[in-house]
Amino acid sequence: MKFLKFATSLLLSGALFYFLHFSHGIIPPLGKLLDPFSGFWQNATSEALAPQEDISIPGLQQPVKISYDSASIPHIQAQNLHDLYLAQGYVTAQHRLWQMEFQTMAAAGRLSEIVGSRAVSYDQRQRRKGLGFGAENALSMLEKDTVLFSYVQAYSEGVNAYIRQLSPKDFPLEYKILNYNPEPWSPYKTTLLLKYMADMLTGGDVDEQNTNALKLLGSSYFALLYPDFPEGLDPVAPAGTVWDFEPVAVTTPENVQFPLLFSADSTEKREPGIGSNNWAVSGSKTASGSPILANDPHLALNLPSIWYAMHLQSPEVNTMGATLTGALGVISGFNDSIAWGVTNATRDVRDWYKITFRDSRKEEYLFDGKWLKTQKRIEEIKIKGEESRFDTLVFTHHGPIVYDENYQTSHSLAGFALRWIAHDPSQEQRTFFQLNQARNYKEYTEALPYFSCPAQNIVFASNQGDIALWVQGKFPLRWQDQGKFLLDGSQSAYDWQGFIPQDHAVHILNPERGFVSSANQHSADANYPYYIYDNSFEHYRNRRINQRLTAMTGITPQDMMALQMDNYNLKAAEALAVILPSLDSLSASAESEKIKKALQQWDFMNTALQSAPAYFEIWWHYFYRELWKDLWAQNKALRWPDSYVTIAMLQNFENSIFQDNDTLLFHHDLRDLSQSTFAQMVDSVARWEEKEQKPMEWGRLKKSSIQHLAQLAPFSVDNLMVDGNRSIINANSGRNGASWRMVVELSTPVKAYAIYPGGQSGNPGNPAYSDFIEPWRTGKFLSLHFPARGDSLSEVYRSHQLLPNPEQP
Amino acid sequence: MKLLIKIVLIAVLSYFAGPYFPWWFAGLVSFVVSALIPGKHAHSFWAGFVAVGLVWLGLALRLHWQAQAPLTQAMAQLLQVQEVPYLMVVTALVGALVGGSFGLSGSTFRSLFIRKRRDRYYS
Repeated sequence: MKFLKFATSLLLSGALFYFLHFSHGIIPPLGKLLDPFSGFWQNATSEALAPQEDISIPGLQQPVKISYDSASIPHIQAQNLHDLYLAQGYVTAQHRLWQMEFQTMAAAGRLSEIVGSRAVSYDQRQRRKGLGFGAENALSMLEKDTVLFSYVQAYSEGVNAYIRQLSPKDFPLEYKILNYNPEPWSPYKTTLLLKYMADMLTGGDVDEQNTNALKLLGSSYFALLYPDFPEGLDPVAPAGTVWDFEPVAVTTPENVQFPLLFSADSTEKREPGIGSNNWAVSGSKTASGSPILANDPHLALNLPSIWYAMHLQSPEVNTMGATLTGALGVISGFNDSIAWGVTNATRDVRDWYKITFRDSRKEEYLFDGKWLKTQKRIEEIKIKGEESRFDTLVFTHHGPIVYDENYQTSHSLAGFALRWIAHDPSQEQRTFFQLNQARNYKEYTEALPYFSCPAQNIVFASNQGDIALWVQGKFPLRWQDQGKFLLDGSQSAYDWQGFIPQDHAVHILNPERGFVSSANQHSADANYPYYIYDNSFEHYRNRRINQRLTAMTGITPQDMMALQMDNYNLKAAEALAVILPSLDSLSASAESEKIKKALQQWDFMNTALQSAPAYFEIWWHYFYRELWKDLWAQNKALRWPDSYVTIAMLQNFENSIFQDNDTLLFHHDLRDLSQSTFAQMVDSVARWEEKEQKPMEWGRLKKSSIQHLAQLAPFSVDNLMVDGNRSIINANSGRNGASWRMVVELSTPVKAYAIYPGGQSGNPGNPAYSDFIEPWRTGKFLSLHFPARGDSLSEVYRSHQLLPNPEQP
Repeated sequence: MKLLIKIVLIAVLSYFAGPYFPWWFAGLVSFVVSALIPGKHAHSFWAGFVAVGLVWLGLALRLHWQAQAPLTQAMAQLLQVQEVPYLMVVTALVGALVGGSFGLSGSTFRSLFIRKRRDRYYS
């Protein structure tokens, strides 16, 4: 009896322990999480930064001083580069540990270890597209660069020194909720992070959609709907740029007839709205006579923010700006002499090759009449609370087979190999390392060649008065149309024939117009002697930026901040000029008369509180879908012609495909189409207003949000009223937008301003988790404290030292 | 009286040792105290329940007020209890149940070795 009582109560206690100690599906380990001694309660802080003691860190050579300003931006002063990067690792981990690890786990396809089997498919895809493979290649190249590698190792030691001193109660909140522990950092994780960026910015293509479209439409209509160089481009290198080099010859194989193959499914698409702006104006156009540089990279907006602001100083370097959590140095920023910034170069660097395997074992594949051996690689996907699963990856010389009988069997790219620059050995980290120290244009150009992928428009300005922009990346040498469609992987004639030499890259230095700029548009026009292709070049932000910069004189940094916040909707202005007049004869209700009038009087500014931008966006949505509904009806993976090309056709409607009697597709009457879709919009606005019980406003319709990286909803910020939209300089489209805004005047001393939608702390329980969001939303900037080399910070909020470990020799 | 001593002992031990041990340490304290100090099973349960529940509730309240951070509200949403007071109750209840059940286990464990009921104090 006694024993039974004991056994029963022990069983009860054991069951309780089991329930509270482990996570069950999405239920976190409640005992651990709720325990006020070590659970989430310990993560709530009233102060952004608590006072910190001096800490000894093994491996450090000299003391390092870390001072935080009132915006929680750390200013690190070290006595050599090794200590500087060690301290960067330490400080970054201190504020962003969970995020930096989570991002690399996502890149490596290891999320199942954290969230269980629901991430298996995601993990499989990450591995199959070869992100880990690419990171390994980058690591082996980094290891050969012994000096830089020693700094990447120092960074890693810094992160690990922080991890080692953590007790479970100090773990970032997400570890407690998801019930796992941080693991040691390594240089491999730094390379993984850079591949994570490459995937984010170059991880999509439309080769399959193009192939389908070509098959459906034939080549002349294809060229009409998807022109490589539409009329009226405003490329990065201004039209008329002279290319004074002898281009490398490219051999076009004989008898190429696209499409080579046909397919029916869809690959991932790059999220539209991932783009960026940057520009630099020369002293001739500024009030102070010094160049000003501006950069705002647009990305999916998450919390913690992808960027972490830092100031890094040692005798060798004095640089400040946005760092990536997990990578060395500053990515978009400035030093005492120069400033630089990045936008995505938006160039297609991925191709798909159809592979002919000898048999189902996939050990050999056909290439130029011979059987080549594949390489196989077994991936173990560890899963929280379950047995590991194993996946076999097959590699050809092109790259990995992404889809096959083990993954998305029915995908139409099953059996294709992916050739992608992100797989190639590369040294992006060195570019930033050198840029951080560069003092002039020459040293900037010396830093660039190491950067392969994701190709970037890297803008530059110096206090010597130079402004420049290089389209930097590793670009395949292609013959006309190569890589636009699916390719035959069994013939060497279809392989890439090399790469565009660095000297032949698109670049501009001190142009006569007094500014350089980029906003994801074409790098150059059709006169550039190499074939360049992408499906998603931008056509609006670039023209608006260039129009404004051309018109502006006596420019101040404040003018540049205002330009970053510019909400002029050039697309709307051009589209409405065509479709609004066709409402003339519309017999309208009072409601539609009101909406029509609002559109006629609209100043084309997409501000959150106006209704007209919402009317336009809804109307255009219906109009555009209706216009191209014959593509939609095909039920195949197809691309939609972009708005720019579409509007150009509308401007010349009578001679467009919409009135072409040789094809039955796409026939429309402009007046009917405008009126019917306008009526749809009016209806939709009425329904929205009734449901929301509020008048229609653009910001309310758009619902901007900044979401927690692991989609933990209470840690996201939702329903923000934010101006702008995609194709507008202030590019906020809801989930995507300016992830970092920076304006730098290259005067002496350098004046710099920046803001980003997040905060310096990665801890949702910290006031600095999201305190930059409101100033970011309303277009306010932090004035950055940037003392000259050797000077100390004027306004210190907290400071402490990292000290060498005295017990070490 | 013994009940009160137990409550105070469990509360004091789990409060001061809490920062240095994992979350289940409060249960262990409750088990050991109830195994060493005689008493009715029900008393042992309630002693652990009240002591650990109060300690967890008290500390949670203190941390919430000190931080003045919106984190508690966010956690209440994450854990689907929506409001901060409910989260406090859930926290206290989890602590109380652990304290109570391990207290009961300690007490029944003790009775395996005690043949007759008699008063005996361990110091």
